[in-house]
Amino acid sequence: MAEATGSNGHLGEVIIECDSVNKWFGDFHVLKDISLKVREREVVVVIGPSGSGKSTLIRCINRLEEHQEGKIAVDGVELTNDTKNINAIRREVGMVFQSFNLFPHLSVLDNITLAQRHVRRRPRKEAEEVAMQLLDRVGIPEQARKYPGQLSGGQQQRVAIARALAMNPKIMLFDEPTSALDPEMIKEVLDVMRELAHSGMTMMCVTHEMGFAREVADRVIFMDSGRIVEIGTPEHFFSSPSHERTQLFLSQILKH
Amino acid sequence: MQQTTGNSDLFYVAPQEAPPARRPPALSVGALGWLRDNLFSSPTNSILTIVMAIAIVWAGGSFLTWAFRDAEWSVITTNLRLMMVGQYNPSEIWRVNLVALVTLFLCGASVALAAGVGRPVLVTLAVVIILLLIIPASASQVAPPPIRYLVTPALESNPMLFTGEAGQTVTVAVEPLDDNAAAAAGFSGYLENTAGLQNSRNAWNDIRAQINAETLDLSEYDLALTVTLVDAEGTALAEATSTPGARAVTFDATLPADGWYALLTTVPDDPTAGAAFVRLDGVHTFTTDTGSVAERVGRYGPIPSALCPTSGDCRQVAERDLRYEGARDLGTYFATQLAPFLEAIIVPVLTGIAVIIAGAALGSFARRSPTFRKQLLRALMVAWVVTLIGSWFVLRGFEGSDLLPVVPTSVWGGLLLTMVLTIVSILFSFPLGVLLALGRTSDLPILSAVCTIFIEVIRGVPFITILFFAKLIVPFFISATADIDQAIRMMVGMTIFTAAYLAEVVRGGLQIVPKGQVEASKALGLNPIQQTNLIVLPQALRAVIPAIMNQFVALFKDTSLVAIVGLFELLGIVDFIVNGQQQFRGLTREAYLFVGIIYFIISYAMSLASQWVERTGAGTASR
Repeated sequence: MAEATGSNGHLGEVIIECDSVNKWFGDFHVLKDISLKVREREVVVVIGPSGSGKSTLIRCINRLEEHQEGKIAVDGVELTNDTKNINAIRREVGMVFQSFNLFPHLSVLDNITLAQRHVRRRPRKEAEEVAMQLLDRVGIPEQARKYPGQLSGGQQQRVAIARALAMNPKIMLFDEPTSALDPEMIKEVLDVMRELAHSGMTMMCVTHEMGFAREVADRVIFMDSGRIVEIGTPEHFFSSPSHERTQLFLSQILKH
Repeated sequence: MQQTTGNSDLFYVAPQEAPPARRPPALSVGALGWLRDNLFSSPTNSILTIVMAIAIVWAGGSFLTWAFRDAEWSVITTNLRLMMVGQYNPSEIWRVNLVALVTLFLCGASVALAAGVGRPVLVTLAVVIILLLIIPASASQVAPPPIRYLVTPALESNPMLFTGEAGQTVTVAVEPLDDNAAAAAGFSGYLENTAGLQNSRNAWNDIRAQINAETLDLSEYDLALTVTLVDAEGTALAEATSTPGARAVTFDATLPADGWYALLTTVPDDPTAGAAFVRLDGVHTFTTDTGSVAERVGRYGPIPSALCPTSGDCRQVAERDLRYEGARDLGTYFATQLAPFLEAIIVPVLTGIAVIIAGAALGSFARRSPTFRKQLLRALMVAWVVTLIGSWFVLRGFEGSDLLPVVPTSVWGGLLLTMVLTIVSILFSFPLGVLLALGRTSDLPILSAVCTIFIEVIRGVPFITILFFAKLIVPFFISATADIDQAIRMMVGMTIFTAAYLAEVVRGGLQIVPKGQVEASKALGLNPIQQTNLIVLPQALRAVIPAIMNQFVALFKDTSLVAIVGLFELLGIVDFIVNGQQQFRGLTREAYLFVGIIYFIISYAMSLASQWVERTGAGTASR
C-alpha cells in the first residue's frame, strides 16, 4: 500500500485529537478528562487493567460509544450527533474487535467486499480484486470461499483485519485483537499487525501483548480507572515508568 | 507397577510412528449392533420396544383392514373435482390448470436450479408413474364385481343404464330373497344407492339385519318380475321373467356393439307383491365427473334419449349411484377402489409430473453454466412475480371479458381456495411480520409502541374472532359501499393474524444476533438500513426458519376456518360432500382421511423445504 517509512520517524499531522473527554455509563464515570493527540503514521498502544476504560476510549473514536463531554476530532472532523460526520469518520477508521465479529452468513470474500460495494460503491469485480490482494497480504488467500465458521480464530482475525483494510482507512483501531486467541495463533495476527505498522498505518491498539507494544509502538498509554496515568515511549515506559500505578501494573504482569 | 520401577511411571515417550487407526469392534456396528444399542439396550427399553411393536401392529392392522376391505373410496373418486376446485365453473377449470402447471414448472425449475435433482427424486417420480400406469391396467383384467339393485312395486323402476363393448358378456339374474337368505350374509358387490332410491339401501340393511336375526318373513320377498336388456334404441336383446313358481331366473347376453345399454324391469301392479334383487354381472362401473362423462360420451355416444328422456329419470352403473357392500379381497379392492381413482387422476398427475420434469431439466441444464444460471435465476424471479400476481387475475377473470369471464371467489373451493388463501396470506404476512418486529425493536418510542400494541392485541384475540372482524371491518377501511370479496376479507384477517405471530418469532431472531455484528457493520460505515438488511435480518431470519415455517404450516391448516363466511375450502367442501349429499352419507371417514392425507403431504413438503433452507445456502457453518 505505502512504502515502509519506519515507525519511529516521519510522523505526520495530528489525526486524532481528544480534548477533556468525559463519558459515563449511567452513574459510572468511565472516561475522565482524557486528552490525547495521535499523529499520522503513529502507532499508539493502550494498556491497562480491565475496566480502566481503554476499550471505551477507542470505541469513542469511531463513535461506537458516545462521549458526553469534551471534544473528539478525527481527521479534522469533530464527532457530534451529525450522522453525516459519523459516517464520514467511520469510512476513514477501520476497527478490529476482540471477538472478530465477522459476518457468519457471508463467505470470507463477501465479508471483505460487502462494505466496499455498499459504502464505497465499488463494482463487485474491483472489490473482489482488492479483497484478494488483502487476503494475500494477511496470508490466507486460499480461504476466500470459506465461511468464517470454518476458519481458526487466528485466520478469522486476519480476515477481520483485511475487511477493515479494504475500506482504505487512514486509521486502524484494534480492540484487544489477540485476547480471544489460542497462544499458537496470537503470533500470526501480531505478524500482520506488525507488517501493517511498518507500512505506515496510523494505529491505536488496545492489547496485553507487551512484547508487541515494546517492539512496534511509538508511544504507550497506560490507563487506570478511566484516566490516562502515563504516556511514554516504550523504552521509557517499560524500563523506567514514572507513576507508581504504572510500576505496580508492570510488576504484576511481568512477575508471572 | 509401583514395585517394578518408579521411573517408568514418571517418564514416557511415545514411539515416533503413531499407531494406525483401527475399526471399532464388530458388536457395536452393523444391524445387530444397532438393534442392541437402540432397541434392547436395557430391560425397560426391551419392554417398551415390544409393547410399542404390538401397539403398532394392532393399530396398523386394524387400519389397513378397514382401508383395504371395508372402506368405500368412491366418494373421493366421484367428488374429486369438488375437492380440488370447489364449485369453480367447470368450463373455466382450464384456468386453474394453467396456473397450476405454470407454478409446477417454476417450482421444478427453481428447485433444480437451487439444489439440483437427486436420484431419490427421480426414483420416486418413476415409481409414481409406473404405479399409475400399471395398477389401472392390471385392474381391468379383474372381473367386475356384481351390481345389485332392489326392485319393489313401490319403488321407482327406471331403466338402469350402463355402457358396454361389442362381444362383452353380461349376466342378469333375478334374486328373490327366499333363495338367497342363506347367502345374504356373505353378500358383496355394488348396491344401488341413488339419492332418489335411498330406500333401497335402507331396505337392504333392514333385510340383512332381519336375516341375521332370522326374523325375516320370507313370504314377503317373493316378487315375480320381468327383466329386459335393451340397446340404445330401446330394442330388446334378451328378456327373462320370474314367476312365483320359478322365481330365480338368469340369462346371459353378448352385447352386439359398443354403446349404451339398459336393463328394464317390469313389476306387477300389486303394491304388496314383495321385493326382489336384480343382479348384473360383467359390467364395469364408471365415475360421473365431467371429464369422465365427456370421455364416455365420446366413446359410446350421448346418453340415449329413448331410454332416458330426462336425466333425473336415469339410474346409471356409476359410482355416484352405487355403494360397494361387503368384504373384498385385494384384487377386488384394486379393481373397484384404487383403479377408478387412479384413472381419474392419471392425466392431471402425469401432466403435472411432465411439467415439473421439464422445469427441472431446464434448471439442471442451467446449473452447469454460471452465466446461464445467473440469467435463469433472474428470469425465474421475474416469472415468479408475474405468476403470483397474474394467477389472481387469471383465476378471478375480468368483468365483461369473453376469454376470462369473472369467476367470483365465492364459488372457489377445495384445494384451490386453500392454496390461494395460504399463499396470498404468506406473501403478505411475511414482510408485514418482519416490519412489525423491526418496528417493535426500534428506538423510536411511538413506532415501537404502535407495533407492540398491534402485535399484542392481535395475539390476544382468537383467530376466529379476527376472521369475524375481518369480515365486518375490512369494507369500512376501503369503502363502506364496496362489495369486497369474502375471500379477500379472509386473506386480510389471516395476514394480520399471521403477521403478529411472525413478528414475535422474528423478534426472537433479532435478539440472538450478537451486538458485535451491528458494531462491526457500523464500524465499516454501513448505514442503519444496510445494517438491518445485509447483516442483521439474514442472520435473524435464518435462525428462526423452523419457527417461521411452523407458523406457515399452522396458517395453511387454519384456512379451514374460512367456513364461517360460507367459503368451502378443502375441509369445508368435505363437510359439504358427506353431509350435504345423501348418497355419500356414512362415508365421512374415507373423505376426511383423504383430505387429511392432502393436508399432510403439503405440510410435510413445507417442512422439508424449510429443512432444506436451513441446511444449505450461505452461512450454514456456525459462527
